[in-house]
Amino acid sequence: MLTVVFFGKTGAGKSSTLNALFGLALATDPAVACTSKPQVTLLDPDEDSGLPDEPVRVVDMPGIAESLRAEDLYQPYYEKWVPQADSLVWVTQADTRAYKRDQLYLMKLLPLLRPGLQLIVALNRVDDLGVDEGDESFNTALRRPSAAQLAVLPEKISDVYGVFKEILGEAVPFDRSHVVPYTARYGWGLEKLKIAILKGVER
Amino acid sequence: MIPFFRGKRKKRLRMVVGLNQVDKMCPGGWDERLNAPTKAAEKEIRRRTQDIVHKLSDFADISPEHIEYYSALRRYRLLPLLSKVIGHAHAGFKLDQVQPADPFGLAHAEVQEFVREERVRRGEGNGRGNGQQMREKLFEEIKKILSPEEMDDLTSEWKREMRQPPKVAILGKAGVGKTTTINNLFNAQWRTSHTLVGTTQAQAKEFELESGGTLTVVDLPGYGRTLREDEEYEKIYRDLIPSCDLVLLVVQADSRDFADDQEIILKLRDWLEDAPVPQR
Repeated sequence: MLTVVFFGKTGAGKSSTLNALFGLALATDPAVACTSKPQVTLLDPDEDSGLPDEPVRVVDMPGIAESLRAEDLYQPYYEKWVPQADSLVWVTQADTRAYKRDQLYLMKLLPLLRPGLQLIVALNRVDDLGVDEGDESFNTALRRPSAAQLAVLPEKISDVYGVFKEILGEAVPFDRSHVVPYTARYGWGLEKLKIAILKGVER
Repeated sequence: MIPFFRGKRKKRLRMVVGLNQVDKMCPGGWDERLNAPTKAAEKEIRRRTQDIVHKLSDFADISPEHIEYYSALRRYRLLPLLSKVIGHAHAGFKLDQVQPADPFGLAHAEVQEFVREERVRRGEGNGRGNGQQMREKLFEEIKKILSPEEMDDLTSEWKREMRQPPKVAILGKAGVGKTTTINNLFNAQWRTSHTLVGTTQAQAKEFELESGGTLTVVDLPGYGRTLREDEEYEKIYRDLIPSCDLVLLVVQADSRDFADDQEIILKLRDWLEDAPVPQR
């Protein structure tokens, strides 16, 4: 049994990412955090041709930083699931510059990460990636980023990489290719994300 | 000495929290023609911002009186926000001539035309000068009550206060729309800015108000980006905030993550309470 654990801030889109990646039907709501307990789903290998032979389960963890009070509530879940993870997917969003909460929570998880564990930063909401006023926004008809968005993407990836690397250090192998941009809403980049995640669990 | 400016100052909190970007809360809920939310979206916005107000006021111990929702980009509900700014700022009356950017300026042409006609029909001017008139009236009333010596005290203190341009610090999570808020809320023409600390980390921006006079906006670097930056910026906040008439904290309404905001509100409270009147 292979285990892929999904983490991330409340609202970053963990559940919608899982739904889009693996055809699941987890509840999502733009206003209210739906995931308050880890949701474990066994993937059906028939439906997803890209899956390895070994059975895969994905774990949707409750979102961090809903408010300052909620955080410690979930710590036991993290302690249970992180050591079992074969691949850890950290969902965060491209349409922000604020990553301190990601850093803080990653720091808490750091002692639980086993060396050699693959960590993928899933950079969601590329469709909302800010461009300068007057620049073209996400092309919803073709479901792909605009030229302006594609132009700023490398810089964005470098920034996010730096933010996570600052905390991770040498705890797990981590380079720029572990930051994967996509949008769960429009599907752009999802296939690459799936490949990156599954590459880590195949042995 | 008359406690005109001091009075109940001790209990006052020179802070307003603005929940920005409410227009993004309901996808498809914005009527571009009118530049206003649809009926359904308006209801939804009210319901969800109420939720945020609870989250902030419960945890961070700030009264809902200090919180207002708006959208700077859409110029939506700038007047309610401005009223709170004036109401909670030290000597907030100095801002009572400010006119926020007109939301109908972004509506479709025929709507703009209609609004213009309607305003003329109702005999609404641009509304300027009302504050000035009310102020003069108030002084006339006070004159009847006070002795000439007391009146002299009052007017000299008044004049001293008026010589200081209003100074508002603006703060928010990185990328939350601070600049758009300044520009549209104060409808201000940027004049000069000079660096206060470091390179471009904190700037005092001088604005020429559309309504006359100047306004100093202390543009503070955004928090919540990384642990390292926050540590560095906190020193800047502590240095600059005590001298300001008000701190306007901009919070992103279409977010579910308010931990950074809650944290900073608690800190701001402490810093402001340590300096009950602006330290200049």
